[in-house]
Amino acid sequence: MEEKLLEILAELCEDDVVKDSLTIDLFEEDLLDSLAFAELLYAIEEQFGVIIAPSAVAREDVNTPEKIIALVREKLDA
Amino acid sequence: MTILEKIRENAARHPERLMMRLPSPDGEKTLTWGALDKDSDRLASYMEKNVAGKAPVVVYGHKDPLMIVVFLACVKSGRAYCPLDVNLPPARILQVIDEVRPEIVFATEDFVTDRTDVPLTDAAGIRHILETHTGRIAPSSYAGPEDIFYIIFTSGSSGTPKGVQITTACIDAFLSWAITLGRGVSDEAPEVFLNQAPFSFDLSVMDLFLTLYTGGTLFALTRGVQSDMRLLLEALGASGAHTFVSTPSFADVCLSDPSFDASLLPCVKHFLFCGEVLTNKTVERLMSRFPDAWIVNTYGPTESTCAVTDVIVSRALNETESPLPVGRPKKGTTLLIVDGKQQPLPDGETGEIVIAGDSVSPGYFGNEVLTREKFGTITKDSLTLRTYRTGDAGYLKDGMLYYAGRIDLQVKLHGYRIELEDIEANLLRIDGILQAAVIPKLRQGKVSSLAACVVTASPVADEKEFEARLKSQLKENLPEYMVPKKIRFLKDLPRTANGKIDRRAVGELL
Repeated sequence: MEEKLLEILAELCEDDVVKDSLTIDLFEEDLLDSLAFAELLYAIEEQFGVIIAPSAVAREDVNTPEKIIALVREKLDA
Repeated sequence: MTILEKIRENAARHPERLMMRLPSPDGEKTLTWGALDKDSDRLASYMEKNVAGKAPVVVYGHKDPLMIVVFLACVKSGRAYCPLDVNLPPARILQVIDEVRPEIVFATEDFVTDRTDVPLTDAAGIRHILETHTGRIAPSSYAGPEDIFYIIFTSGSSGTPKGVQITTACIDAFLSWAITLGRGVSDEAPEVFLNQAPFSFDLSVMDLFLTLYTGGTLFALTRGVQSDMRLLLEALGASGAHTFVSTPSFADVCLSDPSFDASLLPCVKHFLFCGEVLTNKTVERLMSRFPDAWIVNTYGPTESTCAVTDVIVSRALNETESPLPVGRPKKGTTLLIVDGKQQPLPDGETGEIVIAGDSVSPGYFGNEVLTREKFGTITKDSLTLRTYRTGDAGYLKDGMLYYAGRIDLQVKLHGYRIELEDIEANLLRIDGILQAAVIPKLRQGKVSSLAACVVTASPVADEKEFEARLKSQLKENLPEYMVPKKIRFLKDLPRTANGKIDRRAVGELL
C-alpha cells in the first residue's frame, strides 16, 4: 500500500521528493494545492476503497506523506 | 428590458428581499434589494456632483456586498467599473490603476499603497457618502447601450494585463440567453445563485448578473471559506442555492468530501460550468451525488461576455462523448472555425474559433493595436457584427462546438486564464535572469500546474534557495496562481532550427 500511495502522491505533486522525504510539508512546500489534494482523496478511494472526508481531518493531520500513509493504514485496519 | 431598468424594477417590487448574502467569520453580511437601489443611487449622485470626468472607476475588494453597490453606482452615473480582487498583488493593482487612470478608486477592503496619487476612497469613506448624500439619480444618467459597463483585466502576453471592455448592450444580449440557463424564477421564492469566482474573474458575471436580472439572491463564498472544507460545507448547507455556478475544478474540490451531495444542497437544480474543460469524470460523480440536477456546460472568453454556448450534459451525452462538447451558440452569436489565413473551415475540421455577435466586446481598454489584431467585423443578414479571434482551437459538428486546446501560449489553470509569456516577461524583469520559458504540465487532459526553466547570468549556488526567492519576487507582481510550481535552472534553453525556444523540448526536460 505504502509504495502505491507514494506513487500516486508523487504523480499529483509532480515531484519524487515525496518518496524520499516522508516528513516534508506538502502544503508549505507548494507541492499540493487544494485541487490536487481533492484528486489525492479520490485516488485513495478508487485504489484502496478508503474514504477520507476533508471536512473530518485537519490540514495538519494530512500535511506529510507519513501522516497520509498512517491515516490510510488506520482506515484499512479499522 | 435592460439590466439597469430590471434592477430598479426588482428593487421596487421586493425591497426587503436579500440581494446578497456573504457568510464571514464576523457573521453574515447581507444586502437587501432596497438598500442596493437606494445606496447605489446615493453614490451615483455623489459621483455626478463630485467627479469631473467619466473615466472608469476602479473598485477594489473581495466579495463585500458594498462592492455591488459601488458597481451599480458607477453604471448608474454613466461610468464603467473595473473590479480588482484583494488576491492580486499590489504591484499588479497599481499597474491596472496606471493604465485606467481613474478619477476615483473605491476600496471596500484595506488597500495599502505609498502612492499619494491614487485617488482612494476607502470603505469608511463610502459609508460616509451613503450616510450624507441623499440624492436620487435619473435613468437618463445611466450607462447607455454602447457605453462601457465594466472592464475586466486578464493576463496579457506582453507582461502587462489587458482590459476587456464590455458594453451595456453586450450584457443585455448575454442575459437574454443566460436567463434560459437558470430558469424557474418565481416572485414568491427567489432563486439563489451560488458565487464562487471573485468579481475580477468574469465567471462571476454569470451568477452576479443572473441574480440582478432575475431579482434573486447571490450567495457568495469568500476565498477563506473556500479554502477550509468545514467552513465551505457549512456555508453550502446554509445557502439554499438553486443554481451552482463555478469552474469544474471547484466542483472537484467539493466532490472530494462525501457529504457534498443533494442532502447538503437539496434545492440545487442546475450546475452551470464555465472557465475550463468539464471532464466526463466530474459529470459522472456529480450525477451520482445530485441525481435530479441539470448539468450545463458553457464556453466563452471574457471578450464575448462570459459565455456564448451551452449544452445540457445528459447521462447519455456523458456516456457517448469524450471530450464533452461545449455547446451550441446562443441566439445572436455566430461561430466560425477558420484556418491560419482566416478562411472558414468545413464542419468537423479543427481551426481557430472566431466568435461573432451581439455580446462581443468593442476591444481592449486603451490598446488599439491589440484591439485591431484580435477584433474585427463581419456582415451577416445585412447586420454588422463584431468578431473576436479567440486563440482557442475547436471544431463544429452539426452546429455543436468542441474545444480542442489553444493555438497560442495561453492556458487555463483551475479556470484562471494565463498567458505564459506574461509570466516569462515578469521572470525576465528580475535581475540576473537571461532566458525564461514557462510550460504547462498536464494531467488527464487538463493543465494541473506550471513549471519554468530559466537561464541565469551567473551560476546558482543554492538552487532551492534561489527558486524560493524567484517565486517570492514573482508573487510581488503576479497573482499566486501564475507563479510556477517548479523552477529549473539550465545553462541554455533548447532552441528550434530558427532560434525560437523549443517548448516541446523544454517540456521534456521538466
